[in-house]
Amino acid sequence: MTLTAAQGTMLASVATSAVGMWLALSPRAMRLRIIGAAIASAALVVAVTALDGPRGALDDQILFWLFAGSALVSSVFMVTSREPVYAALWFALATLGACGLFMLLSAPFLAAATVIVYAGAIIVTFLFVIMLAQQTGYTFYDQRARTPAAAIVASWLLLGALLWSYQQWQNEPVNVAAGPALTADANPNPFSQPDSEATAHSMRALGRSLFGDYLYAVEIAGTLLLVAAIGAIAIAPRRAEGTI
Amino acid sequence: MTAAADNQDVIWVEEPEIGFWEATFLPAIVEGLKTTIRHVTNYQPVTQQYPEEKPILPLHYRGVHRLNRDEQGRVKCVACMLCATACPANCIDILAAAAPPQWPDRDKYPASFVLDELRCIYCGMCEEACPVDAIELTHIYDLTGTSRNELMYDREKLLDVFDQTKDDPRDPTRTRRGRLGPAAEFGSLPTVAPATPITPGDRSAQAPAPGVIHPHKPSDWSRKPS
Amino acid sequence: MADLITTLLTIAVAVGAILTTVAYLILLERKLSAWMQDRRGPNRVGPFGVFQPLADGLKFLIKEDVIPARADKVMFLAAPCIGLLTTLLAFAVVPFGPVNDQPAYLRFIIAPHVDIGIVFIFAVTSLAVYGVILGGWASNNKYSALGSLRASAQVISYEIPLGMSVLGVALLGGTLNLENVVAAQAQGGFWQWYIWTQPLAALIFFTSALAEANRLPFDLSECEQELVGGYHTEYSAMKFALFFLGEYTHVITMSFLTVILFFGGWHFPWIATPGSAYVGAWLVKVLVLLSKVFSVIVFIMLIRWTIPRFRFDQLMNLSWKALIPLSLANMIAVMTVRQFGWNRWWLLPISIGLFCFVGIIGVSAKRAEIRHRHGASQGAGLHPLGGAGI
Repeated sequence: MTLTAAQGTMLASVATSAVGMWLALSPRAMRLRIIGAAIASAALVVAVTALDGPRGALDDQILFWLFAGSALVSSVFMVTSREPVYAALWFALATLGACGLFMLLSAPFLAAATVIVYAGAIIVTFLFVIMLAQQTGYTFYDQRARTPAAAIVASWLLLGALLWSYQQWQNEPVNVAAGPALTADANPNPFSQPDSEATAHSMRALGRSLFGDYLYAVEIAGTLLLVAAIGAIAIAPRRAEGTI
Repeated sequence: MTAAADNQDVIWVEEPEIGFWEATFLPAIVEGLKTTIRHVTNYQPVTQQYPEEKPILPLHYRGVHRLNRDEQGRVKCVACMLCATACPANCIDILAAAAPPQWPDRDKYPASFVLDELRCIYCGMCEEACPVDAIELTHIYDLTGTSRNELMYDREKLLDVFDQTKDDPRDPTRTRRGRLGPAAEFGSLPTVAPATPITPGDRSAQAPAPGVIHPHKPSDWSRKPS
Repeated sequence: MADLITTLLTIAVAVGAILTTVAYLILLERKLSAWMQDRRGPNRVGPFGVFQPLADGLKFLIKEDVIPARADKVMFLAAPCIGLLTTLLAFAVVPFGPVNDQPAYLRFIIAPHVDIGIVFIFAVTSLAVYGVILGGWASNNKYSALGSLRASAQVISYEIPLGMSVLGVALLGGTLNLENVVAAQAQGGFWQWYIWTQPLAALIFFTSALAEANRLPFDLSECEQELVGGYHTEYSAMKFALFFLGEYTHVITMSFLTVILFFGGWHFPWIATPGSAYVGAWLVKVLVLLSKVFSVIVFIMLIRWTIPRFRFDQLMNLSWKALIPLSLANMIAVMTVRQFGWNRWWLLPISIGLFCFVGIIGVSAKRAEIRHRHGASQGAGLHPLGGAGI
């Protein structure tokens, strides 16, 4: 398999950033950590330049960089923040950045639903637990990384694979018929076909697709949540006599 | 039934049975809304718009003090310290001095009479204690000052209060012992007999009027106490 | 370019109007509560106190700004901002007038053609809970933190029936876009207002909206008798004013939503119909909408000064055990009626029947609990103190 220059650059920079990240997790000198973080971020930026940027109108591109950049920065701060409450709040900001990206992809309902469920309920639950359990500062298990090598190898392999396949998709469109069954069109449900191109990205199309093509997935996910709710009720401690 | 339930000291209180409509709380809400809306529509405010509408003070309202003058314009106070002793807040400070010679019926007079209006609790004990009806509480309630010193009323200020309020029908002057002024509801109080028998050597009980001490007679001094 | 100008103009007018209305709503609340309590409201600053909001605003501006020691400064300052920001943002998709036949350069909605209208409002108001949580946590005050936890638990519990009660309206109208909801009601006339076919949903929506805005009878987390001030104890001056602005803006937005979703928006029979073409029809429609919203706001204030507040466990019981099952049942009823093609008017007796059914369940459960408690006390010889919730 021959590598183009862009692909080779990308692989090399991903490997470099893995090494830099390993340095950044070092428990020894602070200077080592700073150098490692700098190497890792610089190499990742180089890796990403192998990909094409977003296409489209200028304001769409600006919005893309705004949302994507805020999501990235927020997630970096979330991972490195000393205060757990701040980490949860950076998480909320990262979620909002991702929801902005959903909006740019013509999925407004998904964006709104993610804000309601994730930023509005799940992260609030995180905040509850943090405020009741551990208010400030590092705990003893946050002081240093336990298995930095394994963690970096696993995550950077995943990152490299994602970037590689994404870069391939950008250059050659996906061959649906020759690809694995996940990307092939299974028997399309006539109920879920959009009426016209104009309504293809509307709420109506989303509803038809969810409850047409993916009905089983939706029902199984709902049953899973129901099982979790019943389990929570079963685990909860008994209340006093005379109440349910 | 257990013995505890038969005990007369224990009363079992049953929760009243709640019906269907009461359980939804909607009738209660509607009743409450009717009450409040009725108050809005039959609007009868009980607010008194001060300072346009001043309150009607009850009889014998205890406000700022004053020192009364007698018919000759002299201060009635004879510096007997009864009010200072009776005051629960210790706000009266009297410095007695010998009365000037042109006042033959007075033995002492207050050279300095300072009443701290800020410490005063306006209980009226001084007014009740005074034997010569010198100190009285007027109806003035809106007393203000810009500094603490300004509200330490000395004798001149208290006499000034008298000069301003002596004609006010809300402030009866109680110049006759045992008789109240025209604003009072009853005309006079019954005279009070002495609580204990009077010993022969008790000069104040034998005096014709309280607060008036005759010039001493040398023969009194020479009498040996019995 | 014209679009940009129109948008900016609409934003300026809408935000300015909301903030002024909020200030005067506070005055209205004080006056109304005074009239209900046999006293006069503020009447010193102007005739009938009309300049009182100016005096209040000035007071808030020049008051001393106190930040408690060891409070998290960034979060302390950000919390009221988040509260106000999200509630103002929710107003962007609420139409405050007709959106079809009005003159040029006049647009009665800040962001038109948002297909996810109602969902957008829920998304944004669900972010308002961060203001509450951060306000309490950043105050370095145990009672504020507890109050904020309670307040946020209340808010997220009542988000669910708030959303689900609106789903019936969305299903009946086939749209989530607020402009289309109003248009559907206006097309159908007075008897197609969703209040007739979805009275239960309207009741649930109104109750949940009151709870979301932390208004009495659900203001346990911010009342003086409970936790001093709850999550806004430590706030003074302008930050406190921002919290209050956020709360009243929430009230205004929810009143708008109630009118738009259930009471026909700007529609009024014979006066303001979709076919009205006389000069100034758009103005009449705007006035009709505003007067309906005003009456809902006055009703909210009446409720506030009439009903005692809920205890926290009663509040939670109401949400999880009463409102959520009711809204689920309502949604199932709507789905059934739509699926089997029944006449929509069947929803009215179904709604009333559901309400009565739930009421009967509640009453019999309470009676069973009382009997159970008596049985236990008879057996043990003890009489347990305290009562349960609803």
